[in-house]
Amino acid sequence: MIKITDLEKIYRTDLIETVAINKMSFEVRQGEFVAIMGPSGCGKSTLLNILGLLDDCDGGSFIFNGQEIAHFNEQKRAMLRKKNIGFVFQSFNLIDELTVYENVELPLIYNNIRPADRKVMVEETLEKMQIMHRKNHFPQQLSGGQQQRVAVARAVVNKPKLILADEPTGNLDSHNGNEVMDMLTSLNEAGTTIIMVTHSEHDAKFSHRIIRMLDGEKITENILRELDYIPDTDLKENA
Amino acid sequence: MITYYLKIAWRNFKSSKLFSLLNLLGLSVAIAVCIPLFLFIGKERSFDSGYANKDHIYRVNLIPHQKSDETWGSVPNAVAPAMMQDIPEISYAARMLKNGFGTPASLRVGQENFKEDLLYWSDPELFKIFDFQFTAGEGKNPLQEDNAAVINESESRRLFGEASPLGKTIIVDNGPTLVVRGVYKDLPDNSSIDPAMIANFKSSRMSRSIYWSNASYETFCLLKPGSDIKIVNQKVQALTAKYIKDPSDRWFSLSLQPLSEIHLHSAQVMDTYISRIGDIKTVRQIGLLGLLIILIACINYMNLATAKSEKRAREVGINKTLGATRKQMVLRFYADTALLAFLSVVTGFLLSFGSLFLFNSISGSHLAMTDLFGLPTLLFLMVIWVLVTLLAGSYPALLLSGSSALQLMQKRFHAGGLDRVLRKALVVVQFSCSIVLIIAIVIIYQQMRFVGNKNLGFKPDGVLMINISGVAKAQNLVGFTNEISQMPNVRNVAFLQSPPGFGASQRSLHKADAKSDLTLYTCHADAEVVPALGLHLLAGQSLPKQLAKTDSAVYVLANKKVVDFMGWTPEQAIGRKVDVDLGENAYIVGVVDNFNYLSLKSPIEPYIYYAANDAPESFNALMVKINTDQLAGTMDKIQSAFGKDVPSVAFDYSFLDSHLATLYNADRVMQRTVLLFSCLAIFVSCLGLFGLSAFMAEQKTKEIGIRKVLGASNFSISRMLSLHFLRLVVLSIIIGIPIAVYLMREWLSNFEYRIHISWLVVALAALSGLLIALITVSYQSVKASRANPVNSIKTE
Ligand SMILES: Nc1ncnc2c1ncn2[C@@H]1O[C@H](COP(=O)(O)OP(=O)(O)OP(=O)(O)O)[C@@H](O)[C@H]1O
Ligand SMILES: [Mg+2]
Repeated sequence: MIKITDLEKIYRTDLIETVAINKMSFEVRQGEFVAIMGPSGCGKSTLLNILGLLDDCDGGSFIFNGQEIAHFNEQKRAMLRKKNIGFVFQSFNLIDELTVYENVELPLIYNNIRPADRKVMVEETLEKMQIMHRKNHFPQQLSGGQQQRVAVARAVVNKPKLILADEPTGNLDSHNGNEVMDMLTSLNEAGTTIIMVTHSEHDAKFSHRIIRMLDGEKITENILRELDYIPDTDLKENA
Repeated sequence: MITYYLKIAWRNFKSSKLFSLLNLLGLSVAIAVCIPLFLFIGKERSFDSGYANKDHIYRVNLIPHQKSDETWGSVPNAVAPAMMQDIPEISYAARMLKNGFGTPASLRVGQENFKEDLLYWSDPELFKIFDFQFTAGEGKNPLQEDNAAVINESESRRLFGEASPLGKTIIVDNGPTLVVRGVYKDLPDNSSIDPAMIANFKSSRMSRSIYWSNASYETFCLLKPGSDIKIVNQKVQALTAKYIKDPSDRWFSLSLQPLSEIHLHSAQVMDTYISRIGDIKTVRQIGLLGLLIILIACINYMNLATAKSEKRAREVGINKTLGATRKQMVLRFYADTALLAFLSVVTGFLLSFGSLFLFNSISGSHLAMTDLFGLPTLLFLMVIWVLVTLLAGSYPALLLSGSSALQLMQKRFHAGGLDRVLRKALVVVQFSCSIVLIIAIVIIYQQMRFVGNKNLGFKPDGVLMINISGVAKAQNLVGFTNEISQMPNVRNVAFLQSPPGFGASQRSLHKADAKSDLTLYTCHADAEVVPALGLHLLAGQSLPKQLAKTDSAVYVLANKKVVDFMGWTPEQAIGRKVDVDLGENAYIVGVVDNFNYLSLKSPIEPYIYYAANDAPESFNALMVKINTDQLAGTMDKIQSAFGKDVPSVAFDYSFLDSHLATLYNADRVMQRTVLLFSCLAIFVSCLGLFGLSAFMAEQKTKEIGIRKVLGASNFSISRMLSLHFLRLVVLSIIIGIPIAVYLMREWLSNFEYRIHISWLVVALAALSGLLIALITVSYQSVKASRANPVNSIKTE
């Protein structure tokens, strides 16, 4: 589904150049759950933003669904993004002025789904995320875990092929964190590709594969389990 | 989609109540202020637009050669007939002479007397030029007979009640008897001409001789469609050369002024009977003021919107991540502004009932409440709505929608600091406007005081003016004047041709060795004029009390201007002969100090009072200097004496000081309007400053908390917060002062007597601006500095 080769991202400010991504290459297959780990400032978020088509790259190749998109402009990327990709952020990024229901409905509005269908899809998703009873609340009236569930619901309501999560449990306690991880896992089992940035070894173990980064470069890749089957040994090895 | 944006907009509105209300208040006050201003401008511009021939009607104006910077609105009575006869392009021309050159008439209907201010003597052609709608009488040619008159509906009700006035007689000033031949609908109040009664010019005393000298006849003409105004103007010009045989008597030239320009472009035109005079300058000032207020309110909105943009930025970033396009985001911000603007327009509209009332009462206008529901108002509100939405909404819409999702979601979105710079610039622009307004307010006020306290050279207070133009002969009043002279509270009784401020005859003062003559005013008077008006004698004495029957001399009491022109001291002037077109034997008997009878906008004119047997002008007014201690009682006695001694004339009186006040009225009205609305503008911009400081304080709560934990005092914190704004305010003062001084110099140059702009006053005004800003800002600063640091650090 995703194939990057020699991907580069350089931030230029007046004085210094920061090489945030340095000739990274890897592949993510359809249905995979990949975790990206590494110390703070190593370029994880930058990478995720490029993969999520929020940012452009300065070199290398980026093939998404068999299409080279490294040269796409903002408008084309936006089109591709809204059809295919859902985002979950560490800080939830819900819109304060909208209710739970309306927040989840938003991507459907931007994808021009008819109102009747929207209602069905939103309610189905809220049901699945078990926050249906809170649908008329505003984000600030919810706990952190509930807010992140709403954010996940908003990311998946559109049935995207790919979900990008940047430290989805970073602001949550372990109980709420686990709930969110369960949710992501079951989405993955239902066929959604997931790429997740995390600092938590515990959360990373839910994935098929961990990509470790340092200073904008990939240093290792550990395969925890193959797609569709879970090798117990691998899990233990990393524990 | 749009409902979604409106929903967000509404929730935004509710969630930040303070800012929303400040914006709403600011915008709606601005709109409420603008509505009466708009109606006022609309009415001023609509003047005379109702006449079918409006594009072909002209007034004949006169420019005296001696003072070519003057334009008069009236011409000699020979002009209209000559134009009709000689110029083929002129369809019709008609004179309009206000009765008694502007003094009210006394009408006698049956046994009753009525005072009439709006009686005009005119030619039948008038009805071909302007359209009058007749509701009684045949209307075709209503002034066919020489003694015919027509009246408007109000006048008909006033004089005749519900009875039909047709065929009834009216005696004017104990002179001609007129027969009512028609009743016309009252002319709209946006008509420059305003007759309540029109009588055939042929019945007027003034029609007996047709001449090219005295210019007292307002004259209108109707051009044939398609005629070239330039050529017609030349032909009108040529009339004087043809009809005035002696070239030295050709003292003026003529020019045509289109009807459409009469209302707004005649502020400098003298000697017109039209009282509904506007001024394009006023209209422009008012329009500018309205725009300024709207602009200030929009700046408030922009400021608060950009101040909130850091929060908004995140929201836009999220929406973009979720697939919102740039266009959709632009729309979302416009929806935000449009909603607020709509609420403001509605609130402003409701408030405008109050502001219209206020405007009417301070400006003396008569704008109708029903105009608020007219189509123009509706369109105006729509335009304001769209304008405010575009003006105020554009900055957040374009700034935020143009940035990428990623930039927007970063913790601190600055748009490269552009929003901060812009916000500061907007505050400076706005406060500079306020500084200009504050300085303007102070200087206008000072000038008004100055004009009010100016020594006029005479004492108008306690002078009762009684109109006696309806009395056939001054001798008929002897009984009356004798009677009131005996009253304890009556000090002096003077007979005058016309009271101060009413204009007088214009004549020329000749001087042997001078290049040109001096135009001066002459007024027929008697000995009592000096004590009655409180004139200050410099030399000689007042006019003689009694003239021998055979005395052919003309006794002259001149003001200093006159003797200055002759090159005499007041003492030297006594007993000298002067040539003022009043005959061979005119002698100066006294010299009085200069006095100013016109508005202080105009310079002091040379003026003489004269007394003579067979004077060319008759007495039209009695000046009764009274002791105002028991005013009501004195007035009653004078009135009953008048009713007894002069039963056939209406008792028409007024007080000289209040009449003079009306001369400055237009200015005063304008000034009061400007004052009030400037205050409102300052209020609106303070609202903005208040909101902005509230926002800053809110934004800095964390910083304040940390500083306090580190030991900062409340005072140092509120000083820090206030200083941020005060720097901007000081910059505004630096920008505002030169602009204000320049504008006020321009304004003051309209006055002949004016104050000098004192730097101290300007500095004080600017300082008070600073103080206003300080008070506005410090409320929030102090509040923020008092807050418990623990609470503020916890948030976020
Ligand atoms: N907009 C930017 N301009 C300049 N440099 C940037 C910008 N964004 C990120 N960087 C730099 O790029 C590098 C990678 O940043 P990135 O945010 O991707 O790190 P990260 O791995 O997500 O860190 P963390 O775990 O703390 O979230 C850092 O050195 C950062 O300073
Ligand atoms: Mg990161």
